[in-house]
Amino acid sequence: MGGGELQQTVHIHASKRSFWLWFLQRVSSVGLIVVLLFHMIVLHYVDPSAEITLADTHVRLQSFLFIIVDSLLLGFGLFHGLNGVRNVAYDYFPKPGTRKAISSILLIVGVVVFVWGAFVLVNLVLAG
Amino acid sequence: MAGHSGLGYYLRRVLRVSLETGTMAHLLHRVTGLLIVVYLFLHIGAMSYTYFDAGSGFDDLMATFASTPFLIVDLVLFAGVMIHGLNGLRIMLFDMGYFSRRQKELFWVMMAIAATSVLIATWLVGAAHGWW
Repeated sequence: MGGGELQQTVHIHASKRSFWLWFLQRVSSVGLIVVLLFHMIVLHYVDPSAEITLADTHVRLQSFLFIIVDSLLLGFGLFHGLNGVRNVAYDYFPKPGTRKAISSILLIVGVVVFVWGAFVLVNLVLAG
Repeated sequence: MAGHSGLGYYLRRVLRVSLETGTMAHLLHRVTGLLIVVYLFLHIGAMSYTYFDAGSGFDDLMATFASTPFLIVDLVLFAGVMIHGLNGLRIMLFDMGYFSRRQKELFWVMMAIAATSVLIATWLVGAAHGWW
């Protein structure tokens, strides 16, 4: 069992954009496995009886590690999630015009929510 | 391309075939992925409370989220994340050329790991909140 067990050569014709979206979907997924597990275990499962408070959140976000983890969660999560929605939508809508509209809407939603999330995060860091 | 694309093709492909392991994995990946995206937006919305209501509003919201119904939703979310994450890892292993002839076995191994982690999380949360 190992790499190279498939002997046939597969020629994939994909645009550069398709390749990069596929590649970034993989990169963000590996990133999410690390930061999302860290986030869920530290916040919810190390001490499951602890209630999250604003004061604790301010203290936590004075740590560089949590600022990095939360920023990566926001960026990776939005990209991976919305690109995933795009992948699903492309299965249902084959027309190029519809696909372009879907991609544009998802891009706008992603940028707006990222800017908003980053604003909330910066506000939390500065208020601490 | 007629008949080989679009919603009708997708539904025919999914509904007419029996639910074999690969199809099940594909559907589970999509359903869990879409649910997690919905949760992500709700989560960002909830965190926005820290900006709009930095008084007791956020703490009240978090206290509500610590109630049993929300803890159960949290565990369902954790299950969704584990299923999606581990199946995603399985897909990446195929991309790199590993286990492509053992995809069904690998699916069940991943699901066994997911189930075990959800049982451990449920036990921890239940013990902390006096469920048992």
